[in-house]
Amino acid sequence: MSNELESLREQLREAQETLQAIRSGDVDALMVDGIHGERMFTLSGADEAYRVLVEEMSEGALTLTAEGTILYANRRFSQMLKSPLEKVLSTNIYTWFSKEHQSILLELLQKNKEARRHKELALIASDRSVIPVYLSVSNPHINKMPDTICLVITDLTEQKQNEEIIASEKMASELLKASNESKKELLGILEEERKAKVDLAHANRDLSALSEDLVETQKRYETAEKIGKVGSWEYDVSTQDFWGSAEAKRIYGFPAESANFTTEIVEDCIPEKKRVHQALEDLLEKGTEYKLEFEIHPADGTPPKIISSIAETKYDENNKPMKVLGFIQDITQRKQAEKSLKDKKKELETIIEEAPNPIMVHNEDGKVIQVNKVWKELTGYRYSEINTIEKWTTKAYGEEMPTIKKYIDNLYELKHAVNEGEYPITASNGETIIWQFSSAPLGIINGKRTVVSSAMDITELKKKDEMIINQSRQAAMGDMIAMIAHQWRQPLTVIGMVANNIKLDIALEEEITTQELEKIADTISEQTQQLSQTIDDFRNFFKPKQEKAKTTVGNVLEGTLKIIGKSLENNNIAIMIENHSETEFLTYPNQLLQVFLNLLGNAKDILLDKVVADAKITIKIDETQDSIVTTICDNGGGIPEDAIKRLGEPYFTTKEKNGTGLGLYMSVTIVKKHLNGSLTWENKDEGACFIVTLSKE
Amino acid sequence: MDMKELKKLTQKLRVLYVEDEDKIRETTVTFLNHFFDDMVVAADGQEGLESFEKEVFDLVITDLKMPKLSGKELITKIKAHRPETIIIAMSGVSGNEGRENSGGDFFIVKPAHMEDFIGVLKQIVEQSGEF
Repeated sequence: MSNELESLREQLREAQETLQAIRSGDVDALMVDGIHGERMFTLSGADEAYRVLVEEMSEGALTLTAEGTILYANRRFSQMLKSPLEKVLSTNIYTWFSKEHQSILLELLQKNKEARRHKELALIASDRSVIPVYLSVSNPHINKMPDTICLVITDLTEQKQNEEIIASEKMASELLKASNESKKELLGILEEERKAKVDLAHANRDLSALSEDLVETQKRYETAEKIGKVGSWEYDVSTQDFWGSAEAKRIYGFPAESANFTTEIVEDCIPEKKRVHQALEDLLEKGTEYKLEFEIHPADGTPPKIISSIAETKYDENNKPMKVLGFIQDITQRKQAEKSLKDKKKELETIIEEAPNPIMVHNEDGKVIQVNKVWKELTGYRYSEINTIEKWTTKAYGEEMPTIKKYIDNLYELKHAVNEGEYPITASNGETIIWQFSSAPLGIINGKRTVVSSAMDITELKKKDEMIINQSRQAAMGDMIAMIAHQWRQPLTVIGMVANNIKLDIALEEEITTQELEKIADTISEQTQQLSQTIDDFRNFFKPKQEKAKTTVGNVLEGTLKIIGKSLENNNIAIMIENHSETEFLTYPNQLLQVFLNLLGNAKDILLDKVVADAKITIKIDETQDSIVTTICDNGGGIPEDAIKRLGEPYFTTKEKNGTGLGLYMSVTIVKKHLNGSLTWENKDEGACFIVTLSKE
Repeated sequence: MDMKELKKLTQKLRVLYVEDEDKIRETTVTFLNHFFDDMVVAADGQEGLESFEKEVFDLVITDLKMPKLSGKELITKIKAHRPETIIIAMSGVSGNEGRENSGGDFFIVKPAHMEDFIGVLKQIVEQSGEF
């Protein structure tokens, strides 16, 4: 464009020079470029040719008086001003310029100046639009009108626009350099940008908007770059030419510099070429959105890829599709990740579904996402009946529902797995089953905090446990009653005897003195105190609330002997306590007492069973650095060898009569689980020893 | 036979009473003193055996469960030396076990009712009318 302008300017200069030459008689013929092609004019026809030239030239040409009144103007000038020629002629040239340019113009039109002056100024057209112009002024010394000024005005609008484009290109390339010169892809984008800018420039957009757009586009591109390798392509509707960016070629397995990137060769890489081609046709013909994913087999024989492709149509001013601009992205890895994620999810779902334990997946919205087979089987509820936590808790927990639901609501705060303990659950058939729950956070799934709760059906176990506990409790109660009987026999006998004495006195009509009566009353009172004390001793032991307390093994042993001592004494069993422990430690005194009671009771039973002369139980309390060891030995002949290993199993007993096989089992359980100690046994000397080891901590 | 007549018949009996529990012994002695004028009291089986070896008793009343020498052992020894000695065993163990295994002639369950004592004493008096 600027070249054309320059050549026109050159022509004009030549024309003016020629005119000068003709006037001075230096030449007799000239040649000019007219709209009808090259024509040679002789001097005799020069006047007419000149007129044609001036009228047809693409510059505005005019002559002025020294004051600036327009004497002559050609059509081009009136076109520039968007005003009919008759309204231009005889107006003052100054009125067509802005105020600030008028002074410059005045300066330009000064007669004493050099022969030819040039300046860039701006005309104000009749519609007030501003037209950049290039002004050439000369004083041609026309004989009759010595003061006439000649003016040639070139419209610079197009040139200015071109300059803007060049400037924007320059800016773009600078931005490009600044951002990442090595990215050829960006060049492709910028190339497009440039093309787009040409269109924009034609639409007379201003420069600032242009550069802003460019920066914005570049930013977007940089973001896109970060996200993934994106290739772009262009399809020219008229020529059917297909163009691809370096990245596009790379994706399709072609060298980046490859020129052979045609529609056919590209479509050859696409197994589903029909579908893909159809999408392009639909875009062009129906304007259907072009957005698809398809497999490609790259030309370089590398493994197949999945690509995502989007495109849109560019239309010309007649709204006819001109070209299609598209982007492709290699999404193979994403697709593979999606697939393996899907597979993993499926696998997990299968594991959950087929797991032998009941499992529920639920989220903070109170939605039950999944309950597995076992869950449904054991409870008898269908998924639709328990697909919210509200429904589930209502069905399973009945009156307890609000408490349980509140508890479950708190589970979503979980950071790690927790054991929640045992809960009775009402199954659909109305039966109660006991589940032991544990829950763990699964993280955020579909935007909701999600928790997996799994359960263990311990109904059977509980029933068995409960039965053993019941049986052992019954056995213990039986033992207790026997022990109470021993304790009570003496005071009851004494009170009975006192009553007998009174009755006998009455029967024998003997007198009872006040002194005697007082003595009797004292005896009765004393004996009832003893009865009451026994009740207290036993009641303490049977206290339902088991609390940890600081005590010594010696104290607990003393309490044990208060209960069982009389029974041992009555059975002629001697108790020898070898050493005492005064070390205080935190424990469950009543549970330890139950263990001692069981061990002493067992010793008593064996000693009575075997009818051991000189029966005795020896109790020894030893202390080590961190534990207290209580050893209870009898002289009952020891545990039979074949029974040593089985001792402590539920229902296993060596007693000939009245053995339940639960006492020692319960003692082992208590020491291990509640007292964090150990209970072991061995044969020693003439009997069995049971060793209770408790930590001082 | 009323209580006073019974008393007259039992008063002449020479009696050994063995009981290890102080309170029981104390209150029982008060009771037995109404019936027996000549009674030796021992605080355990061993002491009872020693008394038995020193003198002759018509009647021995003994507890069964006692430390050192049990009532049962004492009874066995007495019956071995002087089988004619009448023995009343007393024990908290109720039922056949105590009654049959004691080796005594009579058995009274503790705590004893006055009627149990009277009944046994009447039987003894009637069986051996000559006292």
